[in-house]
Amino acid sequence: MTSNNGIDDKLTLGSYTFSSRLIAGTGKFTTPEIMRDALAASGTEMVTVAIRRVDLQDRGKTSILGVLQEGGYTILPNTAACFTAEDAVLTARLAREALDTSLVKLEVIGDKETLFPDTEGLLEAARTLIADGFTVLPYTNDDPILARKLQDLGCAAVMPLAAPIGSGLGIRNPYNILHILRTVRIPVIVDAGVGTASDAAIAMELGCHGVLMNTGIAGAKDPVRMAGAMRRAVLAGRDAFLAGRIPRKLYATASSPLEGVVGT
Amino acid sequence: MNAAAGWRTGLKLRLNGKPHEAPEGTTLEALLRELDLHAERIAVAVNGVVQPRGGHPQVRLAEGDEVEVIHAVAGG
Repeated sequence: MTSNNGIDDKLTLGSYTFSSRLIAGTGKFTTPEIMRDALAASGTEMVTVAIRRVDLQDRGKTSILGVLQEGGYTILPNTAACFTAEDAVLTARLAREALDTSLVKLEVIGDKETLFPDTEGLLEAARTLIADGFTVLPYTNDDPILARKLQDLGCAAVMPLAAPIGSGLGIRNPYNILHILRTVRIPVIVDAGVGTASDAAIAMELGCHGVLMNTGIAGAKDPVRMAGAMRRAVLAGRDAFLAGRIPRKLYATASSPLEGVVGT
Repeated sequence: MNAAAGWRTGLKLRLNGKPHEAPEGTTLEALLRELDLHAERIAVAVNGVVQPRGGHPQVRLAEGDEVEVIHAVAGG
């Protein structure tokens, strides 16, 4: 998916390059078919998966990987629901073994209610995994100082939350996102909180390099249609950012000539 | 179990958090075969250490080992 004007505008994360700036989650879809069609409509090239114990009592479930590999997606395993650096590191290493990828969406969760990151554990896990050769994409809060620390450790991007995971509240603190964009040189990807197309567009208009979303698509009444809307919103927001918006002014500036007005 | 094969029973493991009994001398490869799990698309850790799939035949399980077998599922 190139930008609207055919401009060659790629997202680079470590050694991975993507034409689409939308990263999609695979959770919460009501059927595999809806997931497949929504992912296709979103134009995404990279999708997240979670890592869980194999259910040894119920072996009838089909693997999600078949559908995802048919779609040709890069797989981004996450460490969702890990509450310690130790668990997140083990989960990432298991994911690498199972999926043959060094990519990891690193989550170290600090609290069940908000799912906000445990920043100490996040830094510790990021340090360990980077030393171990991982391409670390950390889910973080919208804190520019933490973003700088994650960059200095060698993370391939920072992924600040716009609002709590699954909340659909949109970009709650655009000024912090701007601070992060001014603080780090690595890609900034808004991860979590996007509820509708305008939220994705705002993230991209701020200058973010990408958006990661799951519930915003999977939880919509028509996930496939919303996925298409998100695809266009990310493209529109990116193009608006690159085009350079006009400054905000308090008073009007006429768009039509002031000379030759009838009756003057 | 597997008494017919001449194995003594009694190796008590924890498999994905639950008690699991395997014959003495069981390797990781044998355990996965018994569970009908194929090494591709899954990963295994024993006592918190990931076991690369090529090494499964050499990993001999011991009493009390904690075995985790994982795979990818839908998630954000």
